[in-house]
Amino acid sequence: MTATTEADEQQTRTARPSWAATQLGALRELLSRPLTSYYLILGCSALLLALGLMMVLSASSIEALQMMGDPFYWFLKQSLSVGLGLPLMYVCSKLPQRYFRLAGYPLMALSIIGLVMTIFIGSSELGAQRWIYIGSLTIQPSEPAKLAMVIWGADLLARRARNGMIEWRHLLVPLMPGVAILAVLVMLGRDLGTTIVLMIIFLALLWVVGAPVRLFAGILSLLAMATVFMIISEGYRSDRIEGWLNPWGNAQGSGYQAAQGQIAMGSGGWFGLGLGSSRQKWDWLPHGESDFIFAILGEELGLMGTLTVLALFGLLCYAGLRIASRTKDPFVRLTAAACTAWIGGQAIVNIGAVIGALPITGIPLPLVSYGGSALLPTLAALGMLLSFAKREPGAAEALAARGPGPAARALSWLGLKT
Amino acid sequence: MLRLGNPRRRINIALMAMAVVLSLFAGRLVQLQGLNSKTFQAKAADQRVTPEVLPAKRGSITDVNGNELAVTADAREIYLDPKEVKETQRELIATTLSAELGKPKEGIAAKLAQVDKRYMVVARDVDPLVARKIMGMGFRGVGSKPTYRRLYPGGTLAGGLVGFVGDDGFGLEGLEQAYNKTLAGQDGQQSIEIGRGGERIPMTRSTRVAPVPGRDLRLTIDRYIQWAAYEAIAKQVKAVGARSGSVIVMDVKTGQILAMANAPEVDLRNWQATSAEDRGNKAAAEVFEPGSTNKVITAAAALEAGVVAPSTIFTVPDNIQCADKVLRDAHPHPTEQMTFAQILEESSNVGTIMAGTKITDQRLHNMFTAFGFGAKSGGSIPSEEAGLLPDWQDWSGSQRCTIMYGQGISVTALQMASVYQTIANGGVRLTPTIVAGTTDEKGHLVPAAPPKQTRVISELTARQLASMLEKAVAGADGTGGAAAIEGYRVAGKTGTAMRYDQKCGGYCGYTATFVGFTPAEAPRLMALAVIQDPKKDHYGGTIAAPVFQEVMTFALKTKKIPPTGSTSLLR
Repeated sequence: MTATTEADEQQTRTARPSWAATQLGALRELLSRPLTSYYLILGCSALLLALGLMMVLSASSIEALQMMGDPFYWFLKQSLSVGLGLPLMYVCSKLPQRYFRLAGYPLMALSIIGLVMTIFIGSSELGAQRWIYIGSLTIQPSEPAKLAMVIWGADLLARRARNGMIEWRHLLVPLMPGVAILAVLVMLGRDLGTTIVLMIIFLALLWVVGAPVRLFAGILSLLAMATVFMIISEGYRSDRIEGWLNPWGNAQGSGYQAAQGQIAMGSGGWFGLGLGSSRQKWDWLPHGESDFIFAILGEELGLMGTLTVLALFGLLCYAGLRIASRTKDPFVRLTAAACTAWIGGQAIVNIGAVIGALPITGIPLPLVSYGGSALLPTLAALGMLLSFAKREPGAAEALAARGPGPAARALSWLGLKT
Repeated sequence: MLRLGNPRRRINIALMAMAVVLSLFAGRLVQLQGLNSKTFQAKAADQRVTPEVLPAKRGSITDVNGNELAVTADAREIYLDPKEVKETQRELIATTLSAELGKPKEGIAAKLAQVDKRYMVVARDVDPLVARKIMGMGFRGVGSKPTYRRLYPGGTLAGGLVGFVGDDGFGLEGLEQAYNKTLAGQDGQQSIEIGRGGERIPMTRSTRVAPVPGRDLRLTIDRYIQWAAYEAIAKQVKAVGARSGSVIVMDVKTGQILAMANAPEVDLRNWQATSAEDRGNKAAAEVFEPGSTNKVITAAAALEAGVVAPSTIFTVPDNIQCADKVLRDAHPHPTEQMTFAQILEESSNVGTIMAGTKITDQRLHNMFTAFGFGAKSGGSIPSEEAGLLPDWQDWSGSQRCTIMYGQGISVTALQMASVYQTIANGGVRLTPTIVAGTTDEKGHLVPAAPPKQTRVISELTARQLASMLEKAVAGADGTGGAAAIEGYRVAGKTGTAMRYDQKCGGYCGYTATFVGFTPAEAPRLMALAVIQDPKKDHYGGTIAAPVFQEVMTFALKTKKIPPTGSTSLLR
């Protein structure tokens, strides 16, 4: 530190750069540290998770009290998911990357089996068939399918791309059929949101591997056509589009959820009504604890809260892309970029729907919304990113230089660890 | 083979794209939550904020000693939200509510069946404990709301005087109506935010106007005397098969009404059960021809004019020609010599006319007016009538004579009571008072303004009249012997009038009256008993005087007025 300060002083004396330039230099220095990605992912994930748990408690308490007689019902279920997810994240952060590569095909197979099962024995709710009930457990196989898609696709492309070259055939097969199977299975369950996320992951993989731009033009126009067809084929989807474009004209019908979400956001104002003080959660806003938790957050914590969440997702994505851009390993690059696209893309689609920028597709806000099926794969992915971050250039040395942590020191003091 | 793009450049482009999207989102958030938040807050208020009326607690009505005659207590309104009620629970809810609230089960089931409704009142005025029990059962869609209910601990006690309130909380009769504004107070208003299901969101209450509780009303009524008066008149009305009856007891020195009872009296706890015509305060509202009790006014006018003295001797036949009519005494008798005092004692119509014709019509009319006839008493007594006193220029030929003994003129019991209060009080009329005071905003009693004092006749005239009235009770030929009270000197006058009845379009039946005061030498209390349309017997001296005697005896004891010697010496 002393050396840096001295250097700074020297610089000040010679060049006298402006205050802004100094601050920018300091930020640049901070961001170029080897463990920046690691700490950003750890910090952002922890903050979003904590904020999410808090908001799930607040947003679900009223409905839980009315329907279950216990305001903590869904909060406790979510806490259980977090309790399972954190160890999973820890384990993933310790695993070396070859284990992830190995997991690609089995995960993909499990996901396809799960999705097929959903179609036959699944339960349909709210126009979407996406849940399997196993006892009191509810599993949504489309959520782990996202993780499977990321790992499998990244592994596939990483093996096919050599020295910046790839064959057309290898670029699209078997990646394209794999995506198509997943997407069709998910669409059979009428889950448009997850399909969109799968598409985002697919496009992200192609983009980062370096596929030609004209391929994207083709795929995007194909997707646009498919979207139009799907909207026309299903009545409730065109209603949703109408509700999105003109929520206040249909405030009692198709635009109800969007309008109520905007009322929640808007009445939060700059600083919000205060934690727990949401009024819209009193049955006004449907799905306030899952898809529309961002609206309740906006109502209770105000603009400050929503901007904070936006900034946390921004930093998380920055960290993910930083890992992707600093690594030399193509698998790590593709996985990190696809994970970022998944989490960031899902956050954008969700927040966009709440603020009226995008139509409502019914996907949860990662880490924040209620739902264990979505939370566990997300935490596993973030653990994987942590594991990659620790293997960034210079990161291992920096971690070693950090010395043993307080826990390790306590164990060593007790003579349990050397 | 395909040449791939530079991954690092691609990632940087993605980073920038993400930065652009997030910046746009941030801008949209600032617009939604910062710039336009007022719009959304207004929309939120539109759908969530509901105004509520905070009912003001109605003031109580008490007797002179603070005993409650009408009081407001906490109550609950039980309502249903049929939309919220589960279909499987309907039967159970209807059965339970029917048992707890005593309402027919079919009615509740019918309300439950209207599933598009959100608010159906099952019962008002529910006891808070019962409401708590019902709410404790935890039925979805059954709610309770705090309200007030009006209780009348006295039931029939001063029912017509106190009056009652309707379902909407407005006074419909009696003092409840006359003093509605004072008693009602001012309802407050607050707003509260509600959930979509209509449930109240805690801690969103904002009170805009706090309710102002109504003022308490303290009457001059003494509930014990009131009770005795009611018992006595009710018993007698029943015994003689009369249509109705009233009793008024007044403090001579203050003009305060100590009792104002009617029979039949409305039972305030179930006023709907009483027919509309019997719900009012007959003592002040019913107008009738007074009969002989009116003779004191003729006597007062003659004495004041100086044309007669109590000892003036008249030669009185049992009939007299007046204009086109021959007017008679109640009982035929040979022409006899009578003093003016004896005329009043024996209640001779002919004698009264002979004395009355010595003064002008205008003078007689002025005396009626001075005693308060033809106008309301001025004491804001509920549902009071002014009676009918024709102008002297309009008196028909024989009417000037009949008015002298109380026919062809209409008064209320209260007006007649006021006449005897004036005589008993040495000629000074005090405005009859029923309200002793009201409480101020802090609950302290503010006494009502003292009654207006008006001298009507000279003290000498008053004394002469009192002594003549004493003879009417205690004299050997007095008509009011039944009013005598052991140990006290009683002055009073009987009245037996033909009763004008609109239903039969003429004179049908009688009005029996007795009015007097005690102790005669230093009057403290006056009382009046009137019985309308008795079927068995009809003389004031035989059916009204005993009521007077009973009520006055009780009132004297209650007011702890010591005996001052009896008039039996005069017999």
